[in-house]
Amino acid sequence: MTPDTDTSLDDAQAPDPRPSTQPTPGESHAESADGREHVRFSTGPSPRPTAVKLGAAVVVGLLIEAILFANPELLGSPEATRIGIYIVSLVALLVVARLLLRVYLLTRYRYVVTDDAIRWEYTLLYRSRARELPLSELRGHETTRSRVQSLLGFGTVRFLTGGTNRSLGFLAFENVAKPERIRELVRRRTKRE
Amino acid sequence: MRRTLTQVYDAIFRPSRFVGANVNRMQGRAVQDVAAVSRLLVVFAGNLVIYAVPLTLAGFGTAPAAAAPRSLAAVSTPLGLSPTWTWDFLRRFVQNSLYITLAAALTFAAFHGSVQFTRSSTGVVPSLHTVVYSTSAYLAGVFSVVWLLSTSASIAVADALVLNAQKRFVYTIIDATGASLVLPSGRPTPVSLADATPADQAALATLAVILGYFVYSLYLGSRINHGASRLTATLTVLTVGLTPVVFVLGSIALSLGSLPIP
Repeated sequence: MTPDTDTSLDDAQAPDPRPSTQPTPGESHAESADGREHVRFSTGPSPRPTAVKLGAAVVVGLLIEAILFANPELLGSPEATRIGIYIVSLVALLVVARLLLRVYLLTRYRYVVTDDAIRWEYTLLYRSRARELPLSELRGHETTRSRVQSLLGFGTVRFLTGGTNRSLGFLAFENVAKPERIRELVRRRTKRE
Repeated sequence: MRRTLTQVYDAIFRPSRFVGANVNRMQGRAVQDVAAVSRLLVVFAGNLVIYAVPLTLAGFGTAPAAAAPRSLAAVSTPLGLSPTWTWDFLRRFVQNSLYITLAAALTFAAFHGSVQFTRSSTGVVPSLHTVVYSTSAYLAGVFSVVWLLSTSASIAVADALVLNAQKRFVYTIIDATGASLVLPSGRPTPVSLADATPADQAALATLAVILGYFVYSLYLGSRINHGASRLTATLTVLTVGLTPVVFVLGSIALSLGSLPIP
């Protein structure tokens, strides 16, 4: 999957070329007629914002280590500086491992908007999960952009039907391109409901 | 098993999810609160067993010799365990568990007291959640590394440095209060970091990183579970950081019957 190649957001959109939930052009309004699902929009999270953070973590880690290596007395003694280098290496390793895993996991997510629901799907090592919120139950949504997301043109859209941000009534489309348009699409679909 | 692995992953890579509690779910009725507290105590007890049993089996803890109660034989003998060994094990297990339990209780008091004081508390349960997860994982990790330092022959300098730092900390407070107390092991003697081997340096770095995790998890707990601002969360962490000072002051007061005011 290439998350950055999301499908059109228009209501009369072109179908998503990816598997499972995409309609064929002939099926675009088939739901009411034959009960089959009509996908209005489908995409995945972009790993780019996380990749940028990964790069930044590597650069900052290496920079601090270079400074410590170049100034062995910086922390009082060469031994103390060596301990500092170990600490920076450990922290950098943890951060890099975490971000690498996240980049991989992001490729396993898929976000779908159908005529009457929004869905989050996840598959990993033959395990799969999906969570769906009926548009008729939607109580609120918000769009946020971190600095990195703003720089790269991505954002996160959160949808809530009830409960809390850890309950089944919560969904987030993370690192998606043109988040406002997704939100607008959902808003339009919600009004129709 | 999968849940345990997820928790280990969260503890290492996603501390925010590890210490984060579902606050809305916890702000229920008293019955729900009691259920949540019970669940958290079970989590703490489980982590305590995971932490203290290996230490006890490794021979840590010094319980003075004492005869096992007769009733213990009825339980231990069918399991193939000698009553004397079982009694000794149980006593040392309790002793090894006491440190982390006491540390958790003090941390909880300081943490919750601080969020209450700053009017950002969302209840006892979110505080308990934060402290149970942060102490039973990260603080237990700190204690384990310190135990390791005290037993490994190849990391003697790190052990001496950690002991020295503890002694210096205690003596700073003793001297500040003007109390005429001496530690059984005496005043700290200088330890040269120049003698530290790479193993010593790596052990000290690991200790620092786990300690950093502990502090960060408390900060996150305050931010996520109580919705505290950055400043309030920082104040909460600083308050918890002062707990050892209160503990030493309390120990001095207990030793002298009163706290000398310089």
